[in-house]
Amino acid sequence: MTSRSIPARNRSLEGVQAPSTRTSLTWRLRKYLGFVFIAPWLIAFLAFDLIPTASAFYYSFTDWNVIAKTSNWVGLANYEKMFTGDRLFWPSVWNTLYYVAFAVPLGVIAGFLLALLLNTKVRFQGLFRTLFYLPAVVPSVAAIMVWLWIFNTNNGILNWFLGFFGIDPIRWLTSPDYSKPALIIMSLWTIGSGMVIYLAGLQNIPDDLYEAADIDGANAWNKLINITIPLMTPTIFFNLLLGLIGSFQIFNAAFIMTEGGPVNSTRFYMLHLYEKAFQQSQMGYASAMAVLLFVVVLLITIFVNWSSKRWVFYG
Amino acid sequence: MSRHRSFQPNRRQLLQGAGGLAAFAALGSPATHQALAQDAAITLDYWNWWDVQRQELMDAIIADFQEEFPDIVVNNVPQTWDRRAEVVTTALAGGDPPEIIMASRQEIVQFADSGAIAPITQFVETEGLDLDRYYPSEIASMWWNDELYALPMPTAGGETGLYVYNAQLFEEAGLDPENPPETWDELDEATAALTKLTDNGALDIPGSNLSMSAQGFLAQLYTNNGTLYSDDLKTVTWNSPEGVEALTWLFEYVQRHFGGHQNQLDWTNAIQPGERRFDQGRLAIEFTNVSVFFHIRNNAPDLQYGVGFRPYNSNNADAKSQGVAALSFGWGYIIPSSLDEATQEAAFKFIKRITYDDAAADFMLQQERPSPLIDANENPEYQDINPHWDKVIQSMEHDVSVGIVPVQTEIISVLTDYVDLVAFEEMSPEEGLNMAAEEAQGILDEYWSSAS
Repeated sequence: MTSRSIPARNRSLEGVQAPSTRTSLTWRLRKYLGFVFIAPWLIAFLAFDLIPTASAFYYSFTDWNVIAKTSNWVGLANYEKMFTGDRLFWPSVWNTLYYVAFAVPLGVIAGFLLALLLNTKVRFQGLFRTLFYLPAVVPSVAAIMVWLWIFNTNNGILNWFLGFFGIDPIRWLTSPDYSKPALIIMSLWTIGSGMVIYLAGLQNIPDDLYEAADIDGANAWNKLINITIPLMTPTIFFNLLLGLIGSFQIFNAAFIMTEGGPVNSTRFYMLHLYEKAFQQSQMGYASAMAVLLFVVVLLITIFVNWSSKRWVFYG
Repeated sequence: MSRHRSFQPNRRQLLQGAGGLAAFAALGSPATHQALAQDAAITLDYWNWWDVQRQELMDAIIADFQEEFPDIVVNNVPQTWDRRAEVVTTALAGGDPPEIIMASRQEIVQFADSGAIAPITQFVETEGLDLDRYYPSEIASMWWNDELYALPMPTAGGETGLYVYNAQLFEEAGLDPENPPETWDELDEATAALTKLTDNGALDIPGSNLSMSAQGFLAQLYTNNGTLYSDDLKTVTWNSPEGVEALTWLFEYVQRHFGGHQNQLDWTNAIQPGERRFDQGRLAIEFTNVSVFFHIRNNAPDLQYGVGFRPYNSNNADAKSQGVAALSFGWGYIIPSSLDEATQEAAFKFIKRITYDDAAADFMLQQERPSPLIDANENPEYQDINPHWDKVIQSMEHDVSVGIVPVQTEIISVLTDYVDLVAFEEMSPEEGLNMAAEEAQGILDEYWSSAS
């Protein structure tokens, strides 16, 4: 009697005895076992990500009233209104681009420099790392309350400090000229999270590269430019992407600190979207705004990803 | 070998046994008895924003209510203020809303227009409620399309008609505390005398907290015989000559006394959450609402202060001092239309308790604030608590109800933007109001055309 060979599709568990005909159904079901394990994530992904995202695409072509539960197809009317009929749409786009243009590079550079500093062998290195990371885990609302005080024109610590250099008090939050720079400065508060990732990247750079450079007579600057930065580009690339995606969605600071003012100078895209959706119940229009943001961030991500071939070095 | 065969249940038997035990345990527990009893009753989740010490007062009302109506279970669910509009909107949209929601006047009209909440006109008639017990300005904004959708509590009035002033600062400035300002001109003079600036020109003690904001403008508008909309709510009227005069006066007032809008914003931004500058003697005149008396008594019981009515434009023969109800505050209680009739009826019984019955009056008295019910404010206990009570009642009587449309939030948002532009000297008051009116009229026209 010749033994039956195990069908290729049932060989997933090495060394497991071949199934009998009676248990073949159970055996066949085993290959779906993995789905059971990922089911919690899968269900949450469908319920809270994929289906809402797909719904937003659909609703962006409707005049969906979330309270009345009515939804009429309006074609491209929401998109048309966005570009031509909403007085505050373009200011919100401009404010967001301004913020992204300054906050992202600043965050990437500051986080990297901080990581370089904290990667040096100094006393209390662990303490410093903890202290610099701490703000990243402070709830944003609590941090914002502190920053309100820091930025206060007459009693704020920032203006008090600048006063030593003969600089007159700056209206950080009450002047349209300074409100966005103020929020960009505030964004540095959370560079600790990026710093931790940079630190991990720095510690992955082999010491022998630096030793070889030392033998060749390289100074610290040469080593930074020719070894550290090239080998850190994958980490910089990762932090850049995270920073871009996060900055396009800036909301909390403007919502709590400035409410979009003064004179709409901090009316960012997400704040405008939120007001349309939840204060004015224009869910269809807000969905169109969300879709546009998604497309823009996606295109920028694709562009950055494409450009990474030219400047990211994977060793 | 023993003949005794031990019992070894198979998996199915084991599961059956465990299930039976669990069911027995669950049925026998006191919690389940209570749950079963409550299943027979109607349960009302009551979302409100009566937090802190008011929660205890509300719990006491609920306990009394449930004693009288044991078949209705009321869950007191105070909410946080954070992202309130988002929470209420999603609750209604989600399909399983709470049975009673404390809603703003704007929300009531918006939700009523959308069909998301149930009219209570029939319940009011069945229960024989006398709506004349409410101040006209209070009950007016509860109606939409000839149907009543909510009952008020607390007041939407008493928000803009009154001000309090620091008697000591008046004396120090050479003003008579017995004769507070009654007109715009008098307020102008008093503010000039009361305002103190620091050496570098920052505001130290402002003469008043009148400011360049949409709410500030609208309050002034009504003291110059202006209005927000026409009577039929179809035309924006804030850019009338009265409106332009009111905003111009307000702009110049802020420029003249406070060194401009930004100076005032800097002063306002320095105020910490919960801090009350008036109670600290660092603000001379505070335009505020009727909850102020409670705060002063708690924070500064020895403060010598007086009460005045919002000054009017004495150069306009038709103008008078009047407050505006439902402009920025005031609450009512709504019932989602998705509920079955029995639940709606039960919800209404509780709403009646907190807005119409003695308990409603007592709830306001405990907080030392007026009730929307006229007769409740005649309780002599108020006079004992508050020496200024006569003025509170007069203010409530003088209040007019501002018109509300379902697109109110959007319209006020437009006005806010343009008043801000005027405040930052980007355009003149007239230009700002005209542009705001034109844009708001477009929103209004679009709404009315879709409504018809």
